[in-house]
Amino acid sequence: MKKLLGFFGGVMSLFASSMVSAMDLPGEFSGELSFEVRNYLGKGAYGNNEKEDLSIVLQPEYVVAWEEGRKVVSFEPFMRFSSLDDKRSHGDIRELSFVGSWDLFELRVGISKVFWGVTESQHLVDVINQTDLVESPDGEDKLGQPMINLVYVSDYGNFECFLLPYFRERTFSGIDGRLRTNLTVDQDHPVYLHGDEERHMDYAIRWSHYQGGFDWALSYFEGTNREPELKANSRATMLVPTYYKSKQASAELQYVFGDWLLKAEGISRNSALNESYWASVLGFEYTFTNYHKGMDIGLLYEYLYDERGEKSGSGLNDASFVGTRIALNDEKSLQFLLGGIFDHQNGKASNAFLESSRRIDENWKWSLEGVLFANPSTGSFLDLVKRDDYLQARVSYFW
Amino acid sequence: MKSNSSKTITALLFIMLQSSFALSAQTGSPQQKGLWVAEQIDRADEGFVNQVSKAIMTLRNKQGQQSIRSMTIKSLEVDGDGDKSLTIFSSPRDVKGTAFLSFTHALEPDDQWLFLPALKRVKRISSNNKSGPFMGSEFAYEDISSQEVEKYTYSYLREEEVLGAKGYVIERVPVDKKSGYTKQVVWVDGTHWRLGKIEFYDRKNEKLKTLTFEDYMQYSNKKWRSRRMEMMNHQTGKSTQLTWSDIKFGQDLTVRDFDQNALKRVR
Repeated sequence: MKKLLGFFGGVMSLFASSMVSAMDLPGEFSGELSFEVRNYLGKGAYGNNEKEDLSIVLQPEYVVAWEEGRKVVSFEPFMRFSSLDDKRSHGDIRELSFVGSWDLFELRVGISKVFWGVTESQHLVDVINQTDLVESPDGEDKLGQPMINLVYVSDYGNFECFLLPYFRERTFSGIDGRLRTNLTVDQDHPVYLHGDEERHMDYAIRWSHYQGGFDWALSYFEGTNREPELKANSRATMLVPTYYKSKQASAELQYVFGDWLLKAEGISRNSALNESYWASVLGFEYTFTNYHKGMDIGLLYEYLYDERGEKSGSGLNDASFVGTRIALNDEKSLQFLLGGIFDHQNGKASNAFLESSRRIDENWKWSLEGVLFANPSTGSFLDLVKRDDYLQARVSYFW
Repeated sequence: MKSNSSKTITALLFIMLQSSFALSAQTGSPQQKGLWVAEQIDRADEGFVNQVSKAIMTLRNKQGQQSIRSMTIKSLEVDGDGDKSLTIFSSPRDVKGTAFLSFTHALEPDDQWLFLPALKRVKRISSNNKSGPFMGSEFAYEDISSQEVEKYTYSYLREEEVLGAKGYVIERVPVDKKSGYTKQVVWVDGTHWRLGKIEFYDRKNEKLKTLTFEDYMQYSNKKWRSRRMEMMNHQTGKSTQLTWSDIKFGQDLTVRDFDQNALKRVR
C-alpha cells in the first residue's frame, strides 16, 4: 500500500516540479497528499448509516518569494474527495495572495488565512475566516478569505485593518454524511438578512503587542456573523442557513512565565438578531519540560463560558476543557494530544478526543484521531452528532 | 597639540587595558582568568552585524540510521541586548514552513514565538525548555541559542594546544537552574578565539556529550565560522552532525525581518 501511495506521491511531485522547471518558474513547489480512513463506530441517528469514509486530500502549494522574503506570492488550492459524502468532497482556495513588507507597513492582498487567539479548546475571537466544518468537527479548518490587510508596525505594537469584500458560507455535511443535524443544511439557498448578501463589505481593526512575558490584542469586527442561524424551511425538509450582521469586540491575553502559560480571550457580540452577549475562555497550560529523555508533558485546563447559557447551541456555555499534550521530541516527533470537555450544567462529560502523529521518514507521516461523544447538553451541536463517534487514520506524503 | 595628547592618553589607556587583560589571564584568580577568556570569545564575535546561513542536521542513532533536518537561520546582532534569530525549517517536509523567532537576553528569559503554517498561527512559547532536544537531535535548545557571557560563571583550567595553536581550557557553569548541565568544559584557541571542543556534563555530573568544531573558515568581515559541528552523546551512542553552508554576513536585514509579521511571511 505504502509503495503504491509513494508512487502516486512521487509522480505528483515529479510532475509538478518538472512543470515548474519546464516553464522556468522561479518559485518553490511543495505540498501534501493524504489518504484517510475514517470509521464511525455506530450507525447515524438520521438514517445516515454508512460507517466508512475513505478520503484523498490534496493540498499543493506554490510560493514565489523575492527581496529576502519581503515579498511573497503564494497559491494553495485544497481538494478533498470523500467516498461517503458529496458535500464533504469539496475544493477551496486556501491561499492566493501577495504579502509585501515595507519599512513600517505590511500589506496582504488576496485570499488568505489569519488566526487570532491564544486558547486551545475554542477559538472565540478568531473571526476572519469561515470554518470549513466538513473537514473536522473541531472547527480548526478554515476556508480561504478574500481580504486586504494593512499592518502599521510601530514601537507600540501592530495596528491592523482588514477589508473583507466577499463572504464565505460555512460548509456542512450532506444527506449521506455523518456529523450532521437531523435535517440537512440547504447550502444552495442561504438567506442573508442584509441586501448586499455575500458582497457585504466586512471590516476589522486590531492592535496587538507584547511586553516581557505578556502578549495581548484588542480587535473589533463588523460584518456578517460567521456562524449562521439554522432554521427549518416552511416544509420542514431542510435547514436554511441564515446569515446576519454582527459587531464583535474582543480581547486576548497570554502570559508566559517559567513553565506556565496563562491564557484568556473574550468577546462581546451584538447582532442583527438583537442578541447581545459575551463569552470567554480562561485557562492555563503547564509543561513538565524534558520530563524524561527529552519528553515534554503538558497539562491544559480551560474554562468556557457563554452568557447565553444553553441557547448558545455550542454546549460550551459553562464547561471545562481538560487535556494533556505529550511530545517525545524524538527523531520521529511522536506526539499525543488527549482531551475532554465536561459540562458543568449537566455534570457530565460531553466528549473526549485523541490526536497522535509520528513521522515515518523524510516525506511520510501518519496520524490518528479519535472522537467520542458522551453526554453533551441536550440540543447542542455535540448532542445532535453524538452517535457519530469515530476513529481516523491518515497517512500523508509531503514533498 | 591638544588632540595629539588626548590621542596619546587614549593609546596609553588602551595599552593599560590590554595589559590588565593579559595580566588577569596570567595572574588573576581562576574565576577572573576564566571570565577573561569568555570575554575574548564574545568580543571576537562582536560586530558580525547579521548572518544568514543554511544548516543541515544529520541525526544518527546507534544502528547508523540517519534522518535529516534542514533549515535557514538568520541572526541579527542587537546593541546592548542578546541577538535576534529566525529559523525557518524546510525539511523534514511535514514541518516545512514552520518558523521559530527568538530574542535572546543576557539574564531575562528569552522571548520565543513559533509559527505553525497549517493553522497560520503564531504561538508565544516558553523559553524554559533549555535542556530539551532541538528537533529530536543531540543538540539541546541551550546548545544552539546565542551564547551570552552572563549565562555562565567561569573558571580557568589550563593552557593546551587547540586547533593547532596555543589555547586555553576553561570550565563554565550555567547560571540558569533549568539548564541540563552542571558544567561545560570549553577548549578555545588563544589567537582567533575559535571554539575547538565543548564537553557537557549532565545533572549527575557525568560526561554526557562532546561537541567538536571543524572546518573553520574566515569570512570577509574577519569572522571565523566552523562549518561542521559534531555532537556525540556518550551515554546513548547517538550523534548529530551540523553542517553550515552559504554563510553570508552584512546582509540587508533590519529588526523588521525579525518580528512577528516576518514570522508569518517567511517561507
